[in-house]
Amino acid sequence: MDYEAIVVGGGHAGIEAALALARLGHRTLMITQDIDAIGRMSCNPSIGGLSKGNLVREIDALGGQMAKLIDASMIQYRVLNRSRGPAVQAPRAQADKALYAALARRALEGQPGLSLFMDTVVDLMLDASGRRIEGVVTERGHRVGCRALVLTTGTFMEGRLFIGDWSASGGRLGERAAVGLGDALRARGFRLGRLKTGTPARVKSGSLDYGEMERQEGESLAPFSFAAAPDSPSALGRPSSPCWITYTNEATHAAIRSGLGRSPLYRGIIKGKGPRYCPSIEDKVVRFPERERHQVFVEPEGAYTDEMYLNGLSSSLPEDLQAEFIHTIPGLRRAAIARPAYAVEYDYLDPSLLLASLQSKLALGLFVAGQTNGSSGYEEAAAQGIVAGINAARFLSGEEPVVLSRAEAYIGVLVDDLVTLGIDEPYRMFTSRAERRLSLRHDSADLRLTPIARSLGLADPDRLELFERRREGIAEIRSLIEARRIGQGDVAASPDLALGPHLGENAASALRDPGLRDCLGRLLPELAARFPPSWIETAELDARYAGYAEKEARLAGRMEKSDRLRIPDGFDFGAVLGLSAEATQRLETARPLTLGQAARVPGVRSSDAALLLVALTRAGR
Amino acid sequence: MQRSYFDDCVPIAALATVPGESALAIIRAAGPGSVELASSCFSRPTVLVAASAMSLVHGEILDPSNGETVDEVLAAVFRAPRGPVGEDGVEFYCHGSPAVVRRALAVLESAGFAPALPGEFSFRAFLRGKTDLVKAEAVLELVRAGSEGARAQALLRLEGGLSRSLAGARVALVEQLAEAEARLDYAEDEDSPAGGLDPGSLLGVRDLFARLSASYAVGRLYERGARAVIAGRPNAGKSSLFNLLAREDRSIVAPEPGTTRDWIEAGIELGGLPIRLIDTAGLREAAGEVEAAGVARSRLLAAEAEAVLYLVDGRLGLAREDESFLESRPDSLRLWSKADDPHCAPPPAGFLAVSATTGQGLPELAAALRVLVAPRFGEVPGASPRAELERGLRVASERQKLLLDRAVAALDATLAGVEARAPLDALALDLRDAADAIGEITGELASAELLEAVFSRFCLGK
Repeated sequence: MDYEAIVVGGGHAGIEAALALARLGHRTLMITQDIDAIGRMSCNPSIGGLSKGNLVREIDALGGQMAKLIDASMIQYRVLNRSRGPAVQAPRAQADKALYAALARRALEGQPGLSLFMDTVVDLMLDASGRRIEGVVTERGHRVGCRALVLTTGTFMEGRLFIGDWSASGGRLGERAAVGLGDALRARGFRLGRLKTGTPARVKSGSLDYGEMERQEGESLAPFSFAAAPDSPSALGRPSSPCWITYTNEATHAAIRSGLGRSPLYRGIIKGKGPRYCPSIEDKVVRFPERERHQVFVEPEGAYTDEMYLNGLSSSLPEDLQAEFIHTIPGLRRAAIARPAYAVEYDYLDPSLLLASLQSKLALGLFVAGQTNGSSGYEEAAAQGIVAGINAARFLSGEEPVVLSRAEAYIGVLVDDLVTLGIDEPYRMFTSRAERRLSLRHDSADLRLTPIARSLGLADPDRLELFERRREGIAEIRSLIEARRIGQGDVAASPDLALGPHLGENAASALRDPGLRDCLGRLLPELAARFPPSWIETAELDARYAGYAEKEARLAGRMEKSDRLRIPDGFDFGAVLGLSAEATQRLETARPLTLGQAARVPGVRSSDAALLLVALTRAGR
Repeated sequence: MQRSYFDDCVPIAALATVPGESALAIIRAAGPGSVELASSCFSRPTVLVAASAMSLVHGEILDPSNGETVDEVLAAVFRAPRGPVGEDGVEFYCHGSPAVVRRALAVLESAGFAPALPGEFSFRAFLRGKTDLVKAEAVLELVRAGSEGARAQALLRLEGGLSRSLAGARVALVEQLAEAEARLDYAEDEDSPAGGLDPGSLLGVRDLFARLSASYAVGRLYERGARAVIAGRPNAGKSSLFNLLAREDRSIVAPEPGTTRDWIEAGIELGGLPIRLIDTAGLREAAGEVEAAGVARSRLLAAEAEAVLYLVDGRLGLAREDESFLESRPDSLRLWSKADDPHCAPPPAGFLAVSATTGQGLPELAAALRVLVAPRFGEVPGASPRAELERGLRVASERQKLLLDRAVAALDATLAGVEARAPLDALALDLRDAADAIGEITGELASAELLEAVFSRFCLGK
């Protein structure tokens, strides 16, 4: 049973990788430890959020699956940060976890050219040179051949769970770890490290006092996928459930502080580094002693379960202490804990040993994606999954890899950061990581990336038809905005709008005035009748922020010159006179491809970059 | 092949003190292997090579070709990454005779040291992380400083006054930016960091940058000197006055009118202010074509100059040409020349009687000229020079000024955006632009573009 490609793991990265490979015509096998666990959401019951929502829409624009899965399983929808600007607003949806996973499994099972197989991969098969993938070895002794392999092991590779003093091998509570693969990779000379993450307790909804919590409603549901019919949220036909907000207090913090001596994290038993940006509640209490309270979101896990997720209370404290501190929180005073919070520590592969295609620098045909690369989050994993899947397919066909730039997608920023900088804690996407944030709005992901999906062959005809209609519609709206002149009549008709200074200009330049936020509907009321709101919104945001986007491009352009100055293969950083020891070591590890990347490597000072420039200029002469 | 600043592996040497007769001259040599190289022309080579960092060795510079002693010296040994340049190096404290220095440098050159390019030591110090860009640029400036005031300015920058001031302001910007970014990366419904931008503090930073930018003109004036044009009809005694003020026979002084056809200039210093004294062709309906061009040029020079000294021949009195010129340039210092001549009439009101022969009126002229140009140097009457200097830190490179202007424009845009309630993600962009511009001044932010710009400046090799 040999295949062109094998994907190891059925999580969010594996799903996108396997589907991309099969859709691009390559006979693909997904090997997972548990077919029933495909597409499980190990932690929070939501998809999207700031910058993550952008990732989901970019994955979709490339022909991926994640947006379609959440569209069909969402039980609440919100657009976050509308007040803080167009670049940083993003959609987030609460998911029915069980439904999400079932839909993911159905998508894989229904995909022609893709097979599923339940086993555990324990080693790679490499050719005689040790530099080319030939297949995998499984726990039950299968040797399955392939030319391309995508590793998406999530938290399962040598995973270990921690709750207080209790510790056991496992990738998720109740699911066994993939034991052996990490050690086999270490023995083969791959560079692995340990990371840690955690998840909060789940409690029974019926045991909560909702009268003590704030209710948080969603807005009307809208699809993430550009392939969904535009602006027909009712087509989603989904129920909408509220979330709830409550807060910790001094009693909570005192209980947590008293238990730190029993925390595996604070006793140094967990060695792996956890995410600073998604800290456990004990971390928050220790690091921010001045904070009187921390926020807790109580979120439904699904439509057919009574379990609620306590967002903000991730912990690895012993279960009796968990119960003690949870019961100090309003609304949760009598909460019945269904599943305890726990920490998981797992192996990751140093992502700085990957090319920007996510192919390993150490073995031809080996691709790595998701948490195995040190990222955190479903969306980050899926984004890498589709990139690895696409590039594994390109590798099989002998084609150049597809590398998205930092200027065209968050996915480009994510991959560039991982492979250039490496990681020393779980990597989470942030809008501030993107130099071209204003150009990477979630609503423009299809305009940016669907042409690439089309050229790859990942955009199906339905998607393409919708895309063409939308693109043409937006272009038409844009020309209408540009053609609309502001006349004396407009000024008189809308005294509240301060159109005066823009007399004689077109609507596009008036829109650049931040004071004229809501003028488009007045100036061009006919748009609403002719075009879906989401098309108008994209065209309007393009016009409103054109000035800022140009400025942003100029700023980013200042750095682009450094990104064009290439560092030759095998460049000896140690031979650059005067480079600090730390910088030399960091650069030798990261092996940046350009001066720009080198300057972004942590620990490299500007004088180090100056020295490199001198050395490169000298080498180039 | 012409050597450039990029060849930073080459050992270099140069005189580090002012050329000319003095008690002491210091020759600095630096670069990889420079201690070993220097030992080949030193009387105690093994002691020099074995010397620990920052130690002094007594000995003689020898000419290896004939074994002759060039000078008895003290050699200070430096080891990378310590020392002023951050490289291995030797400083020789020699006797301050130009002949000795010339010969010592020749010996070092034949030992393998390349003559250092101007500012190359500080360029290397920047590369080795010993100094920031502002300081490195200050060294260049120091090299070119035309007056005590300019030197003081450059020294102040070298001490890091400007760097500190800019770095402090940048920290304030980066803090606000970090807060804004944190807010942008938290959802509204989360416990996000409180507070928005603080326009008051941004305005303060903006004004500081604007002041510094405006000081560029002053800095430049210090660098090149205020132009003081000596004008007047032919044979009014301009060149005699010029020569006296410049204390040098530069101008051809001849009794027949129209001798100085173009202009001649000399740098002088008045109470710490650098002045470029310019002698022009006499203002007259010119006879010859060459002279006509000279006259046109002198009118132009006078128009651009920071000060005009206008001479009227005290024996001939005011002519129509004089009056028309003084009308066009009423702030001219009016001078009644040849006051020692018995045929000289008494000066009219507003004129100062001067004589290039006796020196009469010269101190008063110097004082009046200084008072005239002082405001151009940003001097505020009554403030002590040092206080004035520190309060008004000045930028002296065009690069710094343009970046300050960029920061001011970016902060203006930020403040206008705050006013117009622009969204935070757009405001953050302008704020980042401002912080980046300042980072580029101090070199905290190294883009290839910036580094090349600075390198090309060094490569000019003035």
